[in-house]
Amino acid sequence: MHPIELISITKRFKTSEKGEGEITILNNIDLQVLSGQSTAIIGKSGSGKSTLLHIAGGLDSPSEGKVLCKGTDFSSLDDKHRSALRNLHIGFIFQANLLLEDFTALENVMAPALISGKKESECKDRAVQLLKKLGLEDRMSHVPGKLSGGEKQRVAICRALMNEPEVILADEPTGALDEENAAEVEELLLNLVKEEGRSLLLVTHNQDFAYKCDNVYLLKNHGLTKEK
Amino acid sequence: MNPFVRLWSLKRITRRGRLTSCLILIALVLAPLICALIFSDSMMEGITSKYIYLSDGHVQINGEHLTSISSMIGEENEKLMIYSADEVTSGYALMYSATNTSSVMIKGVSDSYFNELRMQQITFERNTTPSTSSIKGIAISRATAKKLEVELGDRVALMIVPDDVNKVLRPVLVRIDAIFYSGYDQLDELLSFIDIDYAKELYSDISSTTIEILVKPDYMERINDVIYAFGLEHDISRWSDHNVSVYENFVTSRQMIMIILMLVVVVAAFYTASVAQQMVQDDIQDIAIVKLIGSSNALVRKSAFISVYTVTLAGMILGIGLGLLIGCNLGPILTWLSSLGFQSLTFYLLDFSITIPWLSIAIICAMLMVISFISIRISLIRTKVITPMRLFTSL
Repeated sequence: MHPIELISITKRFKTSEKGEGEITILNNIDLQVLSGQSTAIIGKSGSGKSTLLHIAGGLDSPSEGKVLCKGTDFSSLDDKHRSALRNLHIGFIFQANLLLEDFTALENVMAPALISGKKESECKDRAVQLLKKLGLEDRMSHVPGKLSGGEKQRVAICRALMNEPEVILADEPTGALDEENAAEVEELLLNLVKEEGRSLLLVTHNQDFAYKCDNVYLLKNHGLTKEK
Repeated sequence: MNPFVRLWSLKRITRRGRLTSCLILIALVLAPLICALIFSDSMMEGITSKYIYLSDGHVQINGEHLTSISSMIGEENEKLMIYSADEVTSGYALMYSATNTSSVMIKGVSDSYFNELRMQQITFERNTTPSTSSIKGIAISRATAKKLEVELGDRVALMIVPDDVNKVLRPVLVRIDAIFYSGYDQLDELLSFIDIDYAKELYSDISSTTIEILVKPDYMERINDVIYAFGLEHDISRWSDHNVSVYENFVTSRQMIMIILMLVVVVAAFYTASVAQQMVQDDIQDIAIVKLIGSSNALVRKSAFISVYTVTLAGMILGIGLGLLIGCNLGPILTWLSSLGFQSLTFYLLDFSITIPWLSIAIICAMLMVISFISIRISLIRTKVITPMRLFTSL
């Protein structure tokens, strides 16, 4: 059973509010995110990479086809169960770090565990451990407004790992970082796959980063081609 | 409660801004409402007491039954919780001074009439100079004395309005032996007291004489028992029967105050819903993030509800506390305002004991809680349309 499996995914968008015309972004795509492997999707801007990642994470629904997460079809679940599946099995990292501005770094990291119902005392140690591992031990009580871009992205990575998800979905995770920070984040994500046996589905423009992954796909003409 | 819901709610509540102003606004709306309730209830009760103790008694029994009732009262006194039963003869008169005229009710009472309970409602300033003439004494109110421009020891003429239309009007001269003040000018203006024997001479008709009964303070609710015990339902009346317009004004005023307060509370409760709606609008990004990391819509709604509802309840408690604090100190506040020369206060009773209308306060609080509960929940339905995709479409 694959952590995430996309079966015959097609995604169309309406070109007007009235729904008179449609544009196809993804056409009949099959993809398996393999356990303990990193998979990168590259392609031009507007080719539908992010859309594919959103569909893979159950954030958006396909026009046709289905997405299986641990063998469960996202579309068969109600809001409560779909949210729980996302909470426990998928970690998200985006270009914009998307942290809660009122929460400290530590609270942001703990958030997925708290949502799943764990008490603060049960998850604080792991959150602290993750922040320390990513060099943020002296930034734990800082709110995102007091952190640099690189630090925020590392907090977002910690948050994505908090519930020990099987798969990490990352959309341009280094896109907003300078070269030094970008290299750090790349290394961190790839190490996670190697050391902790997690799966990574990466969407990026960065060819160098993409080709460090185990599998590389090119999204072109609404379809996927395996490059590596 | 889900630990994240608790943390997120706490963050919102402690964040200065919309919720803080909601708390302050609810407190500021409720405090004057509670204060107004205490003021109106206390004053109405105070005025009612003035009418009962000085004008009509709790119960009045027609003088025709005087003999039989008088003998009964002694026996039944303990059983019926009667505090006092006094024979009173009353009638109307025009009072003339050298400069002015006033229409008054003359109450003929015995010395024992002003018992401890009545003396709590009235103060007397008495003439210490002994009378050297046969002119009878009268006690008039400070308001009447002011109107007639007379003082203790002065003489005034009374034009007795006869109880029998066939009798002729006749003037009598009386000397002002006492000036009283009950604190409520509207009642004082009408009242004057003379000796009952003299009153009987002036108003000889039997219907002018009644027995005023006071029930013991702790047994007010047993007035009906008193009425039924005498078996004279048709010849017994209460203070409200004698002062129908005053009584009905009280009832109507009380109802109107309550309706207005309820409407204000309804508006305040709907305001909390609009605060909830605005909070969701402000927190769209956070809601989308929280849903992205795995929160269900139910958790999001719960957290938003707890934040706004907690603030509403806190505002309510603060408002009630503030209202009670001011309400319980209304006496000194009104006295102070009166000393500043607020003329409108002369129409009110300024000296009254504070009555806290717990039931009305409870109704208002319950209304606020229920309406805000429902309206906040309804306004939070729209969190459902905020999906994590909102983060990417707005970026």
